[in-house]
Amino acid sequence: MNGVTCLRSNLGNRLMRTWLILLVLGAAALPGWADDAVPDARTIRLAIERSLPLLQAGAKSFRDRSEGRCISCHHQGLVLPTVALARERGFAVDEILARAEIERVHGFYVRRQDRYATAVSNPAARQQADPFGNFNVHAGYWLWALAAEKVPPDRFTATTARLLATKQLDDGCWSFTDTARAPMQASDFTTTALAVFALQRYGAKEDAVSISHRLEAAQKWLLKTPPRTTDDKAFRLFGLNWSDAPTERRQRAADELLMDQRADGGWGQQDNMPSDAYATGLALAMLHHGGDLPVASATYQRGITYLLVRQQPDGSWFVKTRAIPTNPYFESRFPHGKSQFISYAATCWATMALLASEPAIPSD
Amino acid sequence: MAATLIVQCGGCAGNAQPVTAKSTPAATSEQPRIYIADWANHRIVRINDMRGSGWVTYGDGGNGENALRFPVGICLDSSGRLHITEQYHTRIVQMDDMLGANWRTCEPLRSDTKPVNKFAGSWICVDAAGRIYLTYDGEHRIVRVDDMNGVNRVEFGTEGSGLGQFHYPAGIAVDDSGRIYVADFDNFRVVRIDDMQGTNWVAFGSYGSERGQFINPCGICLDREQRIYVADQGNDRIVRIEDMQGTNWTTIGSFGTANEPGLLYAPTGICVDRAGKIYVTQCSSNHRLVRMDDMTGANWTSFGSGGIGFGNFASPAGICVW
Repeated sequence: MNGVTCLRSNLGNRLMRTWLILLVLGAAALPGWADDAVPDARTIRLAIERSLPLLQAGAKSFRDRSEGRCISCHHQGLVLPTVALARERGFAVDEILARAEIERVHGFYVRRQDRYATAVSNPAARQQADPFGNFNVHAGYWLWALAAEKVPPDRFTATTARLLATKQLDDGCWSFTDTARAPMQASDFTTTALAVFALQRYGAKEDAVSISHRLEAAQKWLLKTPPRTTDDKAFRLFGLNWSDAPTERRQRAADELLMDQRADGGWGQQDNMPSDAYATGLALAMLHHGGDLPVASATYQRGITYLLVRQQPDGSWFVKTRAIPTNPYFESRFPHGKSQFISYAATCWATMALLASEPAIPSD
Repeated sequence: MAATLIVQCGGCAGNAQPVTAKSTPAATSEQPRIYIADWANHRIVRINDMRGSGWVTYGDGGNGENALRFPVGICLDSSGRLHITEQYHTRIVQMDDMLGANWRTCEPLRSDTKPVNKFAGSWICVDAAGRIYLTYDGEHRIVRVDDMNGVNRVEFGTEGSGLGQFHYPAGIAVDDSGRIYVADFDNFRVVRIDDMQGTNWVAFGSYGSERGQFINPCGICLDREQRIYVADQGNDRIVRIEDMQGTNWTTIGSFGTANEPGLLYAPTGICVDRAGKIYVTQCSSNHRLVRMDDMTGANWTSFGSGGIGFGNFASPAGICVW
């Protein structure tokens, strides 16, 4: 079970009935969606087979081109859960590249072990441990990514999780002070939900009591704070699942995300933006794995169709960047020029959404 | 306003700043000076021309007394005093000159335990009466105070995308009539209001890269004819419109990291001088300013490169010519 699939929770028949009603209503309101828009399994499989090698090669070329200076806040390790899910669904992955990515991410925290350990016990050292103010973002994403690849807890991940725990704000959320890089580094829902996961998965056993209190506070924040963007709503669902929120609250969160699907079958990053593959892939993946939205549902199929018709011939999905560019520009060799990083993330989420429709291969 | 001369200071993003001719030393000089908020170098820079003559800096990135931390907005009042906003401080810094004389701070922004200003930061301009206008990124509102004591503090705006709402507002400017222009960064539009009550709210723009569209509009300023200039950061272009209907939409610029005419990467601050020349900063890794005579890009000139020494910038943001 990886970090994505272990999000699965049973929201019960009531949730399913709600969805079915919504789907029927949605279908009635959207006559443009004909039966022939339902994608076939072979098309989906081919789409995945086109994107996977591109993603793995993209991770390697980024590593090579950045000369190890940057682990990439742009990708946020999304290739790891994508590859893990692909492997689980029986797709061939380049295990050498996969292992290199795992080691790269894990090594990042190994190298910072002493600095993080000092910062845990000495608040004055926290600035040095988080010079750019984005620790909460990368620690959340990357611990989730490592969990997806079944990296077992160790002292390095425990120290990272412990430092992450100290950074919870009084109101229960995790935030960041670095310049936003929308959409991936822009939402306190993202940082909070991923922190909830990281503490659950990698928090030290001796910290169980304090972690429990932190998760409770986080859940309260997730429940009381109004979400605005698709990232907000998707990660709220993620966080509520991982903090064991009441079923009806998770259901409501899933419904809110579901209702944002547009006539074209996609989701937009925000109300004032058009649909794109990033928001659509993210919403589908979270709804399926965190909200039990069946892949056979018309909603899911419409989303899949949205993605399939927009996949580029090279296997990627293009999404135009809106992140404030504060880092030196360079070409990682992933397509789409200055939009390469958000397009990479979009390709990961879109691929994960497609993979969800593939049957899992039973492990031995 | 008949007796005033418009001195275009792009204040952070430019403020059309009417001042009397006799009170304005720069108004009689041939060459306006250029002030830049050198964001990641934690300093401001003043140069006399696009060759970097007269290079002077204030701030060294330290955390000591009178240190700037990620300055974003910059403008001058009619007395030539500098006003600066920073990304990580909820305050305005005022000083008389590039030596930091009479350093004063004012904190009209709401203090909060939450980090703020994570998008385009807090920007600033000063009107003819010396009133100070700020955008407050983290709280999605604009604020005005009469002076550095925070007198008559008034705020406007809430978070959202509707009327009377902003989402991470960035550049701010004021025209001859006192109307306020805001680059509504994450709503992909420009907003004009007549006053701090939001009277006659007009918004122009939506998400995209076509005519009438913006991606992350950041800096904003006006020229002597009250035309509106916008640094359309996400589209790597400068937009000029004649009014809030978008009349005579004109653009220049396209994405590029090479130091070549017409290429921009994340234009951020913008201002127009008395002669109508357009000055643009780029917060990206281009780390340089660009000046052009007009919207055709005539006499495109650039200055700067990445670094911390002479002629170097690190993600320059606000720019002001005075």
